[in-house]
Amino acid sequence: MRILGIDTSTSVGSAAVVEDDRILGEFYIESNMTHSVKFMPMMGELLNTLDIGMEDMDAVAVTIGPGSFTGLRIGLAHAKAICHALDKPIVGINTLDALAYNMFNMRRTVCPMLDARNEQVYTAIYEDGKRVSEYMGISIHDLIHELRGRDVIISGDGARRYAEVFRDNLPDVILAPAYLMMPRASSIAMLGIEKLKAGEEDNLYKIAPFYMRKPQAERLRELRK
Amino acid sequence: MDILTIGIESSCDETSVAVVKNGREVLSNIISSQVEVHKIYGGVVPEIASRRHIEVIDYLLDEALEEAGISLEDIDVVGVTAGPGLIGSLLVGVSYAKGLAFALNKPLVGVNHIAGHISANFIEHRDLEPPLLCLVASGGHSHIVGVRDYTEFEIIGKTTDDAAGEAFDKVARILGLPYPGGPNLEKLAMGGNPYAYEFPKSYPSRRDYNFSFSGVKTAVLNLVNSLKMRQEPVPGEDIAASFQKNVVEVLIDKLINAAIDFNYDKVAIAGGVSSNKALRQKLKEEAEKAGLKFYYPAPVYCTDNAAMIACNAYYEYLRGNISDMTLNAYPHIGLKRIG
Ligand SMILES: [Zn+2]
Repeated sequence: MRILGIDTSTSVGSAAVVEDDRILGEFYIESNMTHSVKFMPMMGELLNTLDIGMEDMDAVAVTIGPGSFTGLRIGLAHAKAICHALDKPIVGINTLDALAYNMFNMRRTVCPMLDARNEQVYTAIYEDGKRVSEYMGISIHDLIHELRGRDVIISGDGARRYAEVFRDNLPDVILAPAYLMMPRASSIAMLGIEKLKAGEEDNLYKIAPFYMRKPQAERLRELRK
Repeated sequence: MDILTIGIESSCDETSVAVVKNGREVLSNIISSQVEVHKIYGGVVPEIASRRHIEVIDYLLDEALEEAGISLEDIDVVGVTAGPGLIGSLLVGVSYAKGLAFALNKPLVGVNHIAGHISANFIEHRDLEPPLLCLVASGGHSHIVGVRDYTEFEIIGKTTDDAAGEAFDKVARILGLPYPGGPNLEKLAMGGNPYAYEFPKSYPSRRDYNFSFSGVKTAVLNLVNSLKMRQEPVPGEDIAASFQKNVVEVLIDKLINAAIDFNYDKVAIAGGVSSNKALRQKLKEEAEKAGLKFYYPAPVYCTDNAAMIACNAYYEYLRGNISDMTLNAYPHIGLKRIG
C-alpha cells in the first residue's frame, strides 16, 4: 500500500510517501513562509523527485487536528480536493496520535502537546503506544499536576514553548529531541496505513478538522446565555 | 474547441462552485449561503465562515458537476477567488483549488474577487464587450472601475470611508434591523417616503469621482437619537427610504459624471448593492437621459457566486495569466491582478 502523508497542522509543514513499512520520501520544513505558499510546491517536488504521480497513490492521510485552525484547513482542503479529483480514500489522523507515534514503544509516559495559547495546550497521555487519557484542552499548570510523579517525555510545539516551565516543575521530564519534536508526515502516513488496514477509512464529505475548541464568538455567546 | 472552467468562491460567507463554458455560458452555479448561521451574531464571524466552507465544498463540487452534466476530467481550467476577502475563508477555496488543479494537472487561475463581480455582467449579457464603466458596490467595496478589457481595470473613483453596502448595514443596525442589514433596509424603504428627510449629500470633492458615506450615516444616527430623546416615534420606513435615495443619488451622480468625462458609452453595476431596486431604477433613468447604455446582472450574479469567478478566470487564462502552486490568499489586494 502506497500512501501520501500531509501535515500542515503546526508551524511545520511536511509531506511524505510511505509504501507499507518503508518511507520512500519525506520533505519537512519549518519556515516563516506560510503553508498556503510553500506546501503544495514542496509536495509536488517530493513526488517529482520520487517520480511518482498522484494517481499511483492508494490513499491520502492528513492530520485533522488539533492544531492551528487555518493550518488544519489548508492541509485538509488539499487532501480533500486531491482525493475527490482522483477518487482516492482519505484518512484523517489526530495530530497528538501522530506525535505520540514518533515515540512509539518508549518506556516512559509520552505526552505530546500543541500550543493553544494563553498557557493552554491540547494534549493526551500515552503509555506503551496507547492513549490512556481523553484528548484534553488544559492549562499547562493542570497538566503538570497530572504528570507529577511519572517518567514523562513531552513533545509538540506546546512542549517547545513551555519547556522551561515543565523543566522547573517536573525534574525528571525529558524533552523530545528536535527530530521527534514536531509532527512528521511519515508518521501520519504510517498511521494512515494502520487505519486503512483496520477498515477505518474516512468519508470524504464528512471528514472535518478536529478543532477541540469552538469559535470564540460561539463560546462568548454561550457564556452570555 | 469548448473550454470548461470551474470556478470556486469562498471569500466571505458564501461558498460557491460553478461550471462555465467558454467564459460566458453558465452550466451550473451552486451557492451555499451562510446567512442563517451568522444571523445570530449580527454579522459574519470569520472563523465560523471558514469552518463552514470546508464542510460544504465537496458537496457543492459534486452538485456543480452534476448540474453541468460533466465530470471533473472534462474541466480545462480551475479558477478560484484569491482576494480580496476574509483570509481564512479565502484560504479554504484557494487550498482546495490548488489540490484540484494539481491532481487533475490543469491550469490554475487565481481570480480577483472585484474583477469577478464586474465579470457578472459578461455572463448576463453575452454580447457585452469592454470598454465599459462599472460601479462595483457591495459590503466590502465601492469602486467606479474603468473596464478597458476583460482583464484590464482602472479604478476611477472609490469610497473614502465606508463601502456603500457597509453604510446600508450600519444604518440598518441603527434602525434596529436584523442581519443582513442591506436587503432588510431595502425592504423597509419600500414603504417609506424618500422625500421625508433631506440628509446631507457627502461628496469629498466635486472634482473627483470618490464618494463618502460616513456623513449620511452619522446624520441618520443623530436623527434617530434625537427622536428617541424626545420620545418621539422613529419613522423607520421614511428614514430608510430617504437614506437610500441619498446614497443612490451620490453613486449615480459620480458614475454618470465619470462616464461622460472618460468617454464611456456603456455603464454597468455589480456587487451585492447592485441588486438594489431603487439603484437600478434610478440609474436606468439617468443613463438614458445621458445617452448611455446601462447593464446590470440578475440578482443571483450580484451576490458572491462562482460563475463570475469562472468567467474572469477564463479571460485571464486566454491571456496566459496562469497561477502556480505558490498561489496564496490576498485579503487586501484591492483590484490588483493576482500574481
Ligand atoms: Zn463580493
